[in-house]
Amino acid sequence: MTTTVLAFDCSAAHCAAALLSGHRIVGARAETMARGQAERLMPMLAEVLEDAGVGYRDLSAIGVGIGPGNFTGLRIAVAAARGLSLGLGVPAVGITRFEAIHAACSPDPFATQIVSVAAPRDHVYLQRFAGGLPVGAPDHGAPGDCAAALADVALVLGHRAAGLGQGRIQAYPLEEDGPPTGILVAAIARLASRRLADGAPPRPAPLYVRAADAAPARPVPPVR
Amino acid sequence: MNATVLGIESSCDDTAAAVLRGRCILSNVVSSQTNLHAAFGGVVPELAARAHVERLDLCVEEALRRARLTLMEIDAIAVTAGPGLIGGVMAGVMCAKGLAAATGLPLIGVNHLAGHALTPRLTDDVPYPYLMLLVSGGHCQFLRVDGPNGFARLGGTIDDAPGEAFDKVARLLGLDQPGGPAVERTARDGDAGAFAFPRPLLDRAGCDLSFSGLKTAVLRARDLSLVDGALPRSARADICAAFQEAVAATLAEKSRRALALCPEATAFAVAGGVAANAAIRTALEAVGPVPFLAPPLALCTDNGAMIAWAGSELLAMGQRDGMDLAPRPRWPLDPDAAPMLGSGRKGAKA
Amino acid sequence: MASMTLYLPDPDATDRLATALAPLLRAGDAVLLSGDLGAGKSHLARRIIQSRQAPHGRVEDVPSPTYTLVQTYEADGVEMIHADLYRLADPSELAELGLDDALGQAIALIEWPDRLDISPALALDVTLTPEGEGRRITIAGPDAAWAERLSRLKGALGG
Repeated sequence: MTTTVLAFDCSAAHCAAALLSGHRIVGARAETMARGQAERLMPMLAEVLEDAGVGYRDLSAIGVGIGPGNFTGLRIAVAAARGLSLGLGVPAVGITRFEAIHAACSPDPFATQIVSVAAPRDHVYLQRFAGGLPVGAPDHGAPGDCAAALADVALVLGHRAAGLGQGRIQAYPLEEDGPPTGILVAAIARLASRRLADGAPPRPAPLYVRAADAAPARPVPPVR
Repeated sequence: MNATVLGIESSCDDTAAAVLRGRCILSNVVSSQTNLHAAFGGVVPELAARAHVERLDLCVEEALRRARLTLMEIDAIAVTAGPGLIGGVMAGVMCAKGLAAATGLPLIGVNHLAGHALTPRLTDDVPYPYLMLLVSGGHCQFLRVDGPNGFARLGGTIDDAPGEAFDKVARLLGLDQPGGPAVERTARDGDAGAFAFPRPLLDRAGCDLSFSGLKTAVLRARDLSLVDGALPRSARADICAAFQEAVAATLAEKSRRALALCPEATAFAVAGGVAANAAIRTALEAVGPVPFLAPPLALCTDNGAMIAWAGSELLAMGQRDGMDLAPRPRWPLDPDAAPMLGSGRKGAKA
Repeated sequence: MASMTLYLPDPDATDRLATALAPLLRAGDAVLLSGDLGAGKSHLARRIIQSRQAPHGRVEDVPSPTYTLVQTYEADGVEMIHADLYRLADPSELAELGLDDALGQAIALIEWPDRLDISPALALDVTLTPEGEGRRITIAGPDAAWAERLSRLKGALGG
C-alpha cells in the first residue's frame, strides 16, 4: 500500500502544507502570513487534499514541523497534528526545522555540521549533525557566543552561516531563514514518511529550545 | 438535547475534556496544572500553553475511554474558543479542528463564560431567565441568562476579579498559590472582626464591584501588623478572615441588588472557582428570595462538561462553526453592555 | 532627566493625574509603572486609558491584565497597550505577545517593567509607593522626550 503523508508547518511567518504519496509530492501550498495561521491551516489542508483527490481517511500519517520557531505557530501546528492523529487513528510525526533544513539543503549530509535557525533578538538556534543524524540537544545564543559549538565542525548551514563560519568553516548561508517554505514542508513530509519505518513515533511536541523560567515570586515578610 | 457531545476546555490552567449524552455526564476529565504554576504566584501563560498542547489529546482519549465510546459514536465536538489565555485557547481550538476534520463531525466554538453560565441548566434544568454570578480568577460579572446565546450583563468588577484578589492577597501574605484555598484555610483560625476592611462600591447604586482597593487595604493591614519585620501567624489568619468576609459580604449585597434588577429570574446561580469558597457560598445562599443554585465543585471550576453542555444547546439551535473558527482571547458575552467605569467617576454609569 | 514627585492622597487625586497625563502621551511612548502589589499601578493605567478614550465617546472596560499579560485598547487611531509582566516566563515571550512590535508604535503602559531585558528608549518611569493613606508618585524621563511635557503636566495639575 502506498504511504500517504500530509505534512504542515507554521514555524515562522508562513502557513504551509505538502502531501506525499509514495515518493512523490502530489500537492503543496505555502502562504506567507505573520498571523492568522490558526484560521488558515485547516482550510489549506482541505484544499491540498482536495486538489490531489485524497481524503483524510486515505492518510497513513501526519507530519508536522515542531520548530524551533514562533511559539504560537508551533502550538497551532502541533495541536492540529495531534487532533488529526487521534481522530484518524494514524501516527503524527514531529520533524524539527533543523532536520528539514539539513535534509533539504545540506551539500554534504554526512559531514559533521551545524544547522542554524533564526531565534528572536538576533540570536540563533543551533543543532549539531554527524553521520546524517542530529547529535545532542539543540542550543541557542548570540552568534558571537557560538565559537565552542563550532570548534570541530566541517560546515555550517542556515541562518547567518557566513558570520558563524567566520571564514574558517565552510558556510552555506540560506536566504531568509532556510529553504523556500514549500521545500521545507516537503522535506518534513519525506522525513515523516521515512520515520514511520522506525516504529510508532512519540507524539509530536514543540521544540522550544528555550525553557520557560518565570521570574520567582517576590519576597514577602517572614511569618512567625 | 440528547446529543452525545465531546467538550474541550483549555482557556486557563486546566486541560479538560468531557463526554455528555443529554444531561448525563459520561466522563469529565480534568488535568490540572496547579503544581506547574505554584512557585510563580499564579498562572504563567507560557507554561500553561506548553502544557495544554501536550495534554489535550490525552485528555480527549481518556474522556472517550471513560465514557466507553469511540469518536464514531459522538455527534459533535464543542471547544472553548475564548475568552482566556490565547495560547491555551489556540491549542484547544486547533486540537478540536483536527478531530473534527478527521471525523467529519460538526465543530462548535463555545464561549467559556457561556459554559459556566449555562451549567445550572445542565445540573438542575433551570428555566430561562435566571441570574448568574460568574466569579472566578479572571472574571466577575452578574448576568441575566435568557438563552444559550442571550446574556445581559447587569454589572461586574471594574478592576480585579475576586479570584485575582485572593491570589494577590495570598502573594502579599506569603501563602501558597492558588490563593483561594490557601486564604480560606488560613482564615479558619482568624477573627474576621479583627480588621474592618472596606466593602467596595456599596455606596454606589447598581451591582458593579471593585476588589483592587481591598487588596491595598490588605497590604496596609499587613504592614501595620508587622512585629520586628515579621507577620505574626495570628495576624495573618485575622487578615485572611477579614478579607474573605469583606469579599463575601460585598458579593452577597451586590447579588441582592442584581436580583432586584431582574425580578423575572427563576433562580440565582453561581459558578466559577471562587464559588468553591465556603464562606462566600454561605453568604450567597442567604440572598434569596429565589432558589440558590451552586453546581457541584467539579462543575463550578473549569471543566469540559460545561463546554459540552453549551455545545449541546448551541447544536440544538443549529450552530456550526467552520474550519476557520478563530480563537478569541477577548469575547464579551454581552457585547452591548456599557463599559464599567473606574471608581473615580461615581454615578457616570447609570 | 526631568522628574516630578507628587503625593496622591486618594483615588480621585490619581484620577486627576491620569486625566492630565493622558493627553500628553504620544504613539510610541512607553510608560513604565513600578511599585509593589497594591501600589496602584493598574488603577493609574486604567484611568490613563479611559481618559484617552473619553473624548472619542468610546470608553472601554480596562480589566486587570494580570492573567492575560497584555490587553490592547484604541483611542482616536492610537493603539494603547496595558501589560502586566509579572508572570512573563522569558523576555523573548514579548515577541509572542506582540509587545515587541507594539513598543515604539503604540502607547505602552507596562507594569512590572523589571521583567523586560531591554528597557525601551526614552521611557517615562513612574514609581508608586504607598505612604500613609495614599501614595507617593515619582515621574521621571529623559529631558529630550519629557522635560517640556512634564512641565506642562505640572501646570495642568496647578503647579
